[in-house]
Amino acid sequence: MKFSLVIVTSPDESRACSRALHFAVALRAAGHELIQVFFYARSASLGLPHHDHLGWQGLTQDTAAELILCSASAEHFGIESAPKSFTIAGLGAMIEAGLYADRVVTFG
Amino acid sequence: MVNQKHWLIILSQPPYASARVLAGLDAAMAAGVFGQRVSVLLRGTAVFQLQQGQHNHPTDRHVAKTLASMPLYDVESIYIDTTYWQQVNAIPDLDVMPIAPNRVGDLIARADHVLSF
Repeated sequence: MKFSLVIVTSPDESRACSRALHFAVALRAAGHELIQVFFYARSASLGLPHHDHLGWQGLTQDTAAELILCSASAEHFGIESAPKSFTIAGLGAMIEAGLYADRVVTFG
Repeated sequence: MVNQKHWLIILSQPPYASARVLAGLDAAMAAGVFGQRVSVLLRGTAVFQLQQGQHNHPTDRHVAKTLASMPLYDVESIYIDTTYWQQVNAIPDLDVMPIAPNRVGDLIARADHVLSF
């Protein structure tokens, strides 16, 4: 099954990012395909330099999964360039992933 | 790939709780603009977002007015959970459909994707 994940709360205010990462790892272990993780609203603050990106970057090493910071949210947090393995894009990217995905799961 | 899916956006936050409701409305508008079928459900205390005279933070958009503009973005249906609806003195002329809590499951079952804010 193809999955797309949407996270809406920041790593500083909840464990949603952490739970989403664990979920993504479990998906792959179960043989599912992860299309995209969209960091929306306050979760885009994960792109700030002081956050740990290694776990997320590990997800993209042997899959085509996209890690996307919402462009409007990234701008709100003053993020001008995305960390390695991440990209910045608009809500259209989230909707497009939903066209391919069997399930879209929200965390937050 | 199917070019159109049915997205259900569920808003559950009461007024002043967070900006998540506006994030959900932005997602609904984006889905509508990209030609998707979109429904919005205000659940639980989120229905108080529609209270007449509800003020928003000066830097935020007004939730009820944003909801009223949804038809411009081809958002086809706005559902209101009836749990607290009788207590809401809602702004007039808002085209919403009351739905009993025990029917929400049907609404979710009919959607391809459900996003919760």
